[in-house]
Amino acid sequence: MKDERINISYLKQRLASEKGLSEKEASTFIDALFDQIIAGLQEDGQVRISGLGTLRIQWNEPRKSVDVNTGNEITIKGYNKVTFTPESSVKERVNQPYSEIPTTIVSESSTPDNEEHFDPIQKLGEQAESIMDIVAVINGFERKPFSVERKDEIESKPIEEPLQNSVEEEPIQESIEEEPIQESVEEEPVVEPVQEAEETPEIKIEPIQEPTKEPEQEPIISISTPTATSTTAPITNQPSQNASQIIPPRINQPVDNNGGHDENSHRGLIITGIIISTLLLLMIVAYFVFPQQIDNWFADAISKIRSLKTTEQVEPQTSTDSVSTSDTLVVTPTIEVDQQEPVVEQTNTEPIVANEPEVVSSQEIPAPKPFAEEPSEDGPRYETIGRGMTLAAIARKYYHGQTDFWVYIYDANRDILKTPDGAELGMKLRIPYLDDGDPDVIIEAQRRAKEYKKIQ
Amino acid sequence: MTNKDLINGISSQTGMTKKQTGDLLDSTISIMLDELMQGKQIQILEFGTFEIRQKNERVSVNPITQKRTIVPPKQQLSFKLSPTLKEKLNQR
Repeated sequence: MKDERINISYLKQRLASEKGLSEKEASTFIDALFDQIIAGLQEDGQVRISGLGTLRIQWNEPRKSVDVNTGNEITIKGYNKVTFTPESSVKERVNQPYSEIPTTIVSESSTPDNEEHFDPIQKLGEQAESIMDIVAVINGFERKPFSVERKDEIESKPIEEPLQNSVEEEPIQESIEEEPIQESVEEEPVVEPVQEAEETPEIKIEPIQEPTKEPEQEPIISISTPTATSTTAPITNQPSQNASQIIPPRINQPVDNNGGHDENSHRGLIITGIIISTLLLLMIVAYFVFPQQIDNWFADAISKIRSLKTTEQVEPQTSTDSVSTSDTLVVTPTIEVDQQEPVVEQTNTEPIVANEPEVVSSQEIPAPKPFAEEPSEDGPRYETIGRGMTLAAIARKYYHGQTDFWVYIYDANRDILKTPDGAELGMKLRIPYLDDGDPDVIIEAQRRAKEYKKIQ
Repeated sequence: MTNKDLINGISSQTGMTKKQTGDLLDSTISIMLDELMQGKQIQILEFGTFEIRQKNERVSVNPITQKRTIVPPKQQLSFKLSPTLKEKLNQR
């Protein structure tokens, strides 16, 4: 379309047809038109055609130049050229499709980019502040007032980031995976202004993590803080942390918060923070991946205590059997047992009174249900797994349709069931006596059933 | 040379009346613009080519105020001289 060309003969034809002229007349007219225009250009140097525009001859002065190939100086001769200036009406008509677009003044184009870049970061910074406030309230700290340096750090962040990327990758991943625990642990050092390096990733992450989760996790923080001072005993941290998860009432015991915080150098804090966070992550993963082993470990501890205290009890063969296998899996058996002894004793006392060593089997005690199961009316119940049976089906059968109670059956048989769906044909499962009318027990069962689903 | 001169010259060359010449000139120009608006080039041998050209938007800087302005895109009617006429004009 654009390159379609109309020549003079087409023009003649169209003119003839429109004005009712013969082709000859139109032809002579148009020839005369352009003859006269050329003549006019040559005489006056300019021809004004109303309704179209003005043709004007312009003299280009001779000028000196350099031959590109030889490098010699040459002069370009002066010459005439014809310029065409359309009439304003024609101009407007031609430019009609674009006439609406106004000339706009460019507001300083380079700076707005920067502003847009900094804006969100500062917003994040504000969020970080508010989150840190929350954490501070939870931990009972008095948060140090924010210094101006912090903002500088935030602004300098884009420069630092690429440099430290390699170093920071680790903490970023951790804090994402590790959920709120990690975050609040590292939050404390953030208050100090030197923390630049660790600070940047956190600011990024915070919006992802919901601050609402923090309150729940708060006690765990307090546990991990003391270890910040003593990095040499990271393994001992494991049982205490597990204990805190499994036996909620014990959580507050090891709290001595502000430990050696201030004495340590900031850099040391950073390193220890990273180490702690990795350890925490590993523990959490371990807790979810090997729940039965951890439970076995508890069983081990309990059985030892029991053997020390009550020698007359005959029953716990089954539990010790399972423990002996799990013993090899747990890395640090002896030291932690000493630590845990008091813990276990407390929970242990009630069941022992219950006078039923079998049902109060070691596996059940460490399980995270505060409500102990009903003392058994008769001897232990057993169910042999048949074809097509599931834990849920068994639970439905024994607990008046409460399918979620399979978690308790699973807990009671951790020694033979490695996973919740690890039941095999012919297995003889203990069926604990439970109050299936107690709403608390039901809710707990539902909660834990959900957890297991998540893990899978 | 004004439009009047042009009409006089054409009428004397063709023998038409000035009125008729002016009428024909107007219709010729309107035909030309019509064709141009359809995106066509009008090439007249030994004279030149009329064409509507697209100019892209550009940023211009006011040399006094140093303010940058975006000049919107536009279409312009342009004329390119044919080489033969150019030669003719530069013969002297």
